[in-house]
Amino acid sequence: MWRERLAGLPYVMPAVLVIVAVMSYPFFYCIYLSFRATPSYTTATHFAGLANYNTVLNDPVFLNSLLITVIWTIGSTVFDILLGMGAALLVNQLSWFRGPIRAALMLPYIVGYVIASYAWLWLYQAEYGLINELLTSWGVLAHPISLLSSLTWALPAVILVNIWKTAPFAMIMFLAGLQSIPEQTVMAAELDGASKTRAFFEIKLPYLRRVIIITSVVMTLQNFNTFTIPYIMTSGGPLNHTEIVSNYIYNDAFTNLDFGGAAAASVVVMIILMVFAVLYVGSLTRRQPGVV
Amino acid sequence: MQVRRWLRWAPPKLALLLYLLFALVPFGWMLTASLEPQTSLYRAHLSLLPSPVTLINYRALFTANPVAGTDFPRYFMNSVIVVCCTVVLAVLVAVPAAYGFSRYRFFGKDAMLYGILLQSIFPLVNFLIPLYILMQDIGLLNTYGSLIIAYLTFSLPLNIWILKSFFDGIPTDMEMSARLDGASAWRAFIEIAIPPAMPGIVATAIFTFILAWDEYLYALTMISTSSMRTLPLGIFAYFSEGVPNWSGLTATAIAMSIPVIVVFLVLQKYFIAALTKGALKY
Amino acid sequence: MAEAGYTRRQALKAAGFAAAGLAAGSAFTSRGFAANPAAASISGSLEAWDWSLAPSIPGQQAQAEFYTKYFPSLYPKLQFRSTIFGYTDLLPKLTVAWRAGNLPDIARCAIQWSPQFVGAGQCAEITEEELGMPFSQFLPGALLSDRRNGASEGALYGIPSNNEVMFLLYNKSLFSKAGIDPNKPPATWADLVAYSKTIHDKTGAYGFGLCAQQTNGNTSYRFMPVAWACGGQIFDELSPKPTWRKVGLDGDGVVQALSLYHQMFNVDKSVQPSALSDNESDCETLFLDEKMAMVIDHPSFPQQVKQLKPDLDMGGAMLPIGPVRRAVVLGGSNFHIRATTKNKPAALALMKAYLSPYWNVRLGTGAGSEASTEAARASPEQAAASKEMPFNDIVFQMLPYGVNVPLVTQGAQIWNTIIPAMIQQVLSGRSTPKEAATAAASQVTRMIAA
Repeated sequence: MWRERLAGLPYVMPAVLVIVAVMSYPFFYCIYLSFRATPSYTTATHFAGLANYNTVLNDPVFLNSLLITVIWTIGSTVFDILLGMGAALLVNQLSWFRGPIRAALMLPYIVGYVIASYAWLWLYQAEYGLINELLTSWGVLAHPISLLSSLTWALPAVILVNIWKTAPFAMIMFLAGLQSIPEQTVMAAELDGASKTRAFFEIKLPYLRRVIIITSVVMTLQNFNTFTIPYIMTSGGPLNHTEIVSNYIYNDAFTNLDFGGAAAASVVVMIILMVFAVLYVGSLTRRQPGVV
Repeated sequence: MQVRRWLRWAPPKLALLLYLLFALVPFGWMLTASLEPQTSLYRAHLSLLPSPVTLINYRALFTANPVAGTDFPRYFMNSVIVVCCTVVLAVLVAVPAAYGFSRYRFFGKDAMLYGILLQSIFPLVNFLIPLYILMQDIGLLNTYGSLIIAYLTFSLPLNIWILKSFFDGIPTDMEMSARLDGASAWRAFIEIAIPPAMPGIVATAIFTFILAWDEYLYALTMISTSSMRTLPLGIFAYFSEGVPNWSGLTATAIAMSIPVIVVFLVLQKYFIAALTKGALKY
Repeated sequence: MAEAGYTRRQALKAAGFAAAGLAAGSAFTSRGFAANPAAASISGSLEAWDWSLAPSIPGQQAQAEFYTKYFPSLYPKLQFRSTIFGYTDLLPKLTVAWRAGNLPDIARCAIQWSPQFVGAGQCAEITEEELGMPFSQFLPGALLSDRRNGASEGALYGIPSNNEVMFLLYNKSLFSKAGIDPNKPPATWADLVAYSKTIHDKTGAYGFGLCAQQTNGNTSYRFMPVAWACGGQIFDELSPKPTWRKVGLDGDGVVQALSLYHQMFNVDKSVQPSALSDNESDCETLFLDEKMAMVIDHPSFPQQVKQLKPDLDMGGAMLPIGPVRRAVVLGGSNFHIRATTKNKPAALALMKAYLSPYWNVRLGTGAGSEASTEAARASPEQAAASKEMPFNDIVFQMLPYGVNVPLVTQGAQIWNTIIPAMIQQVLSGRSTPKEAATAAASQVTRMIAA
């Protein structure tokens, strides 16, 4: 009984040790820092209780960034999952060029956030960007507009870039998941005359449940914490309409030099995401006990 | 009849084509821009054909220019070393860990699982100073080691969660029967559990590769000499003051992406092979 | 210190050094101002960080030569390491490095970064003896940024390495096309607004480059000169001895400047509509393509234009005058030595070498900036360099009009975040100029009080 309890430990110990060794000091240092005041005119800090949390939670800029981040995350993840699933299914069905097409679809993910941001920055450019040229030549726009300075269109524009960048991740996860579905089950269903759609929803989807759950959790967490795209493309503007939480935290730390405030904001973010992860994973896996 | 078949066949293919275009057009533009001299970017042009064509940007990559602080071949080598070590270590550490979390029960298992996740959702910005202090105390500042250790740690949580999910999806019967036949737990793990999980393992290897290859903020903090720079740091040389050199940037971007593409193509074949093997096992 | 007395002492010292230097046989000391310390006395290790100058100008060559050839050859016993970073990379890197208490020993920082390091006590004090030249060599405004809290007197915690101001660059052919005399740049800010409208109406090109990107220093660099010209200020930086305590952001001058911006962007629509997300590089791109007639920019930009588009007919002018005065941001960089450095002599030696007239000019004017010392500016090298750099005479003339950025530790927040936010409120029509200025002022007041 004890041996059984302990048997799993050697498998997980290397990973746990690495994480504990590297991250415990930074992690607890940040928690510690969140309870201290870090004035910019000195490197010394002093105890401040919940003052940082108070400031952060009452800061309209922070609350705004939370809202923007929620919109950003939901918008990105939903379309990522849909696009990724669609692409995975389509690619799976291909009989020719499957490899090259799969590789081509992966390119956005491979290329890195920095490059993607600059590339789309130019594409969105009012004078020379491809997007504006296409839209004006198709007659959608009377004259070129600058999407990234528009209060209404800046956020959707950057969300589009994020979708472009992260959907392949979902695609790969779903491809891996699709490949794990036993061939016989699918073939049996098709022999029984099930249409493609029915086959998908009733046969494949249950097998994909786990992958969908884990992918959506992972992508939600990753999207929530993205930094580079808004930082490079708009610096959070115009008027904070594209400022997501990680931009706020970076600014708080490096422009405002309020490291305590940044730590407090990060703890708040972490708590939100943790609650989400636990609730989401917990509720979905509890609904169908057999699948877990 | 033929029409009906066409109607069923075409829309998915059309959808795929649209997505393919969406994914690839920015690259088309980048390729075009990289083949043009800097000044010709300013004419509105719908065509994706570069004119005038020039290889000057690519040639500039391979002439190390310490004056401008650009030394692409060196940065490339640094990135390759750091990333390869990271990926190998990540796989070696994450796979057993995920297996352990999937198959065994032990004290503090859930605490560990969520604790690992916790660390990964905390924004990295806050860790820059403490990690700098840590690396400074160990004496690893400005070395490959600081990057490898850190990237390994950053990638572990997601890798473990994803792999655990894959292991969870593999029924334990085959392992059980192998154990009953006298195989040790470890052998059962290596020879029975790993092959079907290969798609997941390959996927996490790819993700780790990309995470490490593209990471900027932490590398900026750790690396302080230009000979140790990784590729993302090198790219910012194009964005000092003045008019940004889009042509040079896109050329670097493409050159920077090629190895990742190659890695993916290579691993992808393995992906397929592993997948068919896994399927047959059932 | 009495001027005469110091000059005598300094002359004696210089003579002594020169003699020692000549005796040491180093070929470079003859170019030195207060000659460099003897090679044998500097040893140990030194790490220096700097930021890279724009690529297509001779200053970058000079920078590489200075750090990789000249300085190491002066002190062969010194283990010298230098790294050049990108401009945006250096600040976060230095913030982390100096908070964790480690390298580098000496760094060259942009002037608006200095308050953060000086204010937090991370820089070592530098005295005239250590430096070997009188502080009167430097622009008083530049020295303000090296004192704690921007004080007008007191200890210096850094030394200016170069001074830089911006000027107005315009496209002569676009002026002609719009019917404006290309040799008559706008004299006042009101003229500039009018010119912008005329040019846009007659030629379709944007009259003026408006930078209003959020969280970007470029925005404030272009807005504050307008505000100052109208008499507005953030604190009390326009007065001869600013205290940096009294908030002046809700004054009439600022409101007037915001109204000018509002006029150009919302009413005349003569500037680029993407202003809310445009920074300096975006405006430069449009100027290069002759789609924009006037930009406020650094002296290094015309050099780039000459290289990339030699047939662009450029004209240069001082920044326009406002109702109260002419103003420009006093930019440039400072050298700071880390307070906990173990090799201050070597760091000082680096500074002295950099500040010697020959190098100060090459790394100053040659880099689209200006040398920081009087001696350098009066030297023959300066005359030669001025001939090479277009519009250098204009830049020289603008130096006296330089006004400081906020020299408080929260300066970055004010300059990069609060002011652009205020501008964006007005440009997007969310607030009137008065409302936006008042809101910004109360924000700053609250920040200072904390």
